[in-house]
Parts: sequence; C-alpha cells; structure tokens
Amino acid sequence: MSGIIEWLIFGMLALIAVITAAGMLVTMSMYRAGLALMASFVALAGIFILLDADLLAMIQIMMNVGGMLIMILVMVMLMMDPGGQMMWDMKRSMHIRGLGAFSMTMPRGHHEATTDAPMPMDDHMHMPHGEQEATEEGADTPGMQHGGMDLRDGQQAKGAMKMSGMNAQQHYQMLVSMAMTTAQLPWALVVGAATAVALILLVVVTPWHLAGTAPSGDAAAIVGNLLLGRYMVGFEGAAFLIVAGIAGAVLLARREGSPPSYAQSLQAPTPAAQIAQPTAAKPMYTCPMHSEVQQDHPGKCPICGMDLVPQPPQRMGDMGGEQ
Amino acid sequence: MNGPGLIPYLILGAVLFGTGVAGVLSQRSALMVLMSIEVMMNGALVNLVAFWRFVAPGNYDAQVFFIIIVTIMAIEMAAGLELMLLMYRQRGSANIDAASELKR
Repeated sequence: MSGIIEWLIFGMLALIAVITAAGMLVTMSMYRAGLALMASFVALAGIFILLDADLLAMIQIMMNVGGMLIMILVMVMLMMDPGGQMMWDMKRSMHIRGLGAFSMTMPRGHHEATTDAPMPMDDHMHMPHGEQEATEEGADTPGMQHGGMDLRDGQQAKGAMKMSGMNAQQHYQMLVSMAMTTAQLPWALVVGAATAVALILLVVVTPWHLAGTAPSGDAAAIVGNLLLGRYMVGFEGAAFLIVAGIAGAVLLARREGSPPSYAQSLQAPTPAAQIAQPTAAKPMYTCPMHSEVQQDHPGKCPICGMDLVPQPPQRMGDMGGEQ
Repeated sequence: MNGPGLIPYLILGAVLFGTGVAGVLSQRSALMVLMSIEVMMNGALVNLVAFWRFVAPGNYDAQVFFIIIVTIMAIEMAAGLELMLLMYRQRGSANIDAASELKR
C-alpha cells in the first residue's frame, strides 16, 4: 500500500516541479516567474524527502527558497513592471491575442508597411511616442521583461496598429522590443525536448547497479563529520568563494561617481545632456555646407563665404542611449 | 507494490534539465536565463540524490557534493544578477542579444 502512496506523491511532486519550471518560462510577470521557480524548488525538496535525503531537502529549502526570495526582492525593488501589470494592460489595450497573461513571443515575420492614418495613442500605452529603436523602458530597471505579442490575427494586428498611432514598421519594432523570448523559441523547444529525450533514453538503457539497501545513520552528523574532516578543503574553498562572490557583487554594484551625477545618470540620457548643455551654452556658428567650420560668433564661412548659422550644441546623451 | 525506483527519478531529472535548456536558449532577459540555469542544476541535483539513494546509500559524499553545488548555485545567481545590473547600467538594456561586442 505504501508503494502506491509513494508513487502518487512522487507523481504529484514531479508534476508540480516540471509544470512550475515550464510555467516560469511563459509567464509575462517576473514576479510570478520567481514564485514559480520557488514552487519548483519546494516540490523538489519534497522529492528529496521521498528519497530519504531529509538534510538535503532542508538545505534546498533554506538556500534556494531563500535565494529566490532575495531575487524576487531585487526584482520588485529595481524593475519598473515586476508584476507584469503594465504589459498585461498594454496587451489588452492593443487587442493582441495570446494565452491570457502568458505567451509573449516574438511577432512573426515582417508586416508590410500599410499606410493607415495614425490615430492618437491609447492611454494605456506607456512606450514613448514614435519610438524608433527597440529600446527598453525606464531607468535602472535591469532585466525588465516586456511582453511580446503573439499576432495570430492579421486583422487585429492592423487594428492594434491603428490604435497605437505607429506605422507597421514601428509597430513591429515595438513588438520585437517587447518580446519575452527570442526568435529562436521553436528551436529552443526542440533542443530542450531532444535533450530530455536523449537523457531519458540513456537512463532507461543503462544497467544500473542498484544497492538495494536503505540509508542508515544520522545524515546531518555524518555529513558534518565529512565536511569538517575529509572535505575540509572543499568546505573552506566554498566559504572563500562565497566571500569572494559577495565582495565582488558589492564591488560591481558600486555607484560610480559622486551622488548627484549618479542620480542624474539614473534618468534618461536626455536630462543628463540637458544638464551638460548649460556648460556648453554658447551656440556655435557653423556653415550649412561645411560643418567643420565652427565659430562662436556670427560671420562668413572662410571656405565658401556663406553666412554662418547657429548650430545647437551636441546632445551628448544620444550616443549613450543607442543600442 | 514498491515505490518508484531509480528510473522515474532520473526521468524527472532529465525532464527538468530539458526544460532548463529550452529556457536558456529561448529567453531574452538575462535574468530569465539565470533562472533557467537554476532549473537545469536542479535537474542534475535530483539525479545526484537519486543515485545516492539507490546506488550508494552508505556513501554520504554525495550529500557533501550537493551542499557545495547548492552553494555555488547561490553565488552564481548573485554574480549573474550583478552582471545584469551592470549591463543594464552600461547600455540601457538587459537583453542578452545586445551584449554583442565580441561579435565581428
């Protein structure tokens, strides 16, 4: 009887582990992705308990679930749309079909440049008007996921484009920038499935030498003795690695420069350039034909004799914002 | 009827690994790639513990190995988050396709 119960529990836990791990990949909300991974870890901890590895189950929960909590914290603190609400609104307002709050993939193919009359942008759109490049939004939002749109219906796509007030090319670019997966999603699925199948075949075909005994002894005591005895070097090495990792992470995350400039650099590049502009406040006069001619007073071009026209100062921020 | 033997656990590990591979190859954000790597390592860990239980239950070295691996996983996650943060600050995007300086 206990065998059947064990099978049932194994089946449930295995299903939870795999489905949440796969669900992590298709959700548009980063917060939910973190939660799904945490659920997968907890299910695996249950699997470890089934395997009589209680110590490992506890270690799994403490380290990985704790780690995922920290990751979720980082996501929520740093990202602009961790819950996916903005993406969900955008998707709904653009009437893009997909599996509900999921399935943000690359748009398929190029859309022909239809010339629909541009209409005012929907209120829900948070992307800047006329965004040409595929850029990510906002300041200091690492890893931000934008949901891509799965345009299954060309008709609705055209309707969506009309509402967004962009032409087809811009719309396509925006969808590309908002996709959660790369265009290699089908290949990725194939490779993943092939890997799993190959491993399963290997596993089933190999004649394993099963021990047939049950583990005995106090795992914690034995493992503790091993760590402090035979594996002392590895133990200390891991500890050293942790310290190095923490120190490195703190070092890498260090703020560059003095606090005011850092705060400015957090905003979009344009304000930084605007702040830099007053220092280069004097407009230079340049020749319309020869841009290398720069004078700080009006006059005539020494090369061709045309009147010099004032030239606005270079916006330094533009180069930084390029992708 | 006995409980699941070695093979079902190994199959679970294989499926998890395959899911992780699919995630690593298809996700666009560096953070999601990191999380997919975690899924892959979890698959390998399930295999490790299953082998310990069914092939060598008296040898607790496997559990020490597990502890070290989980530790490395945590460090790798922290380092990866850091790199992603830096990448975002430098170029304004955490899209891994944008990190292409070494490309010709």
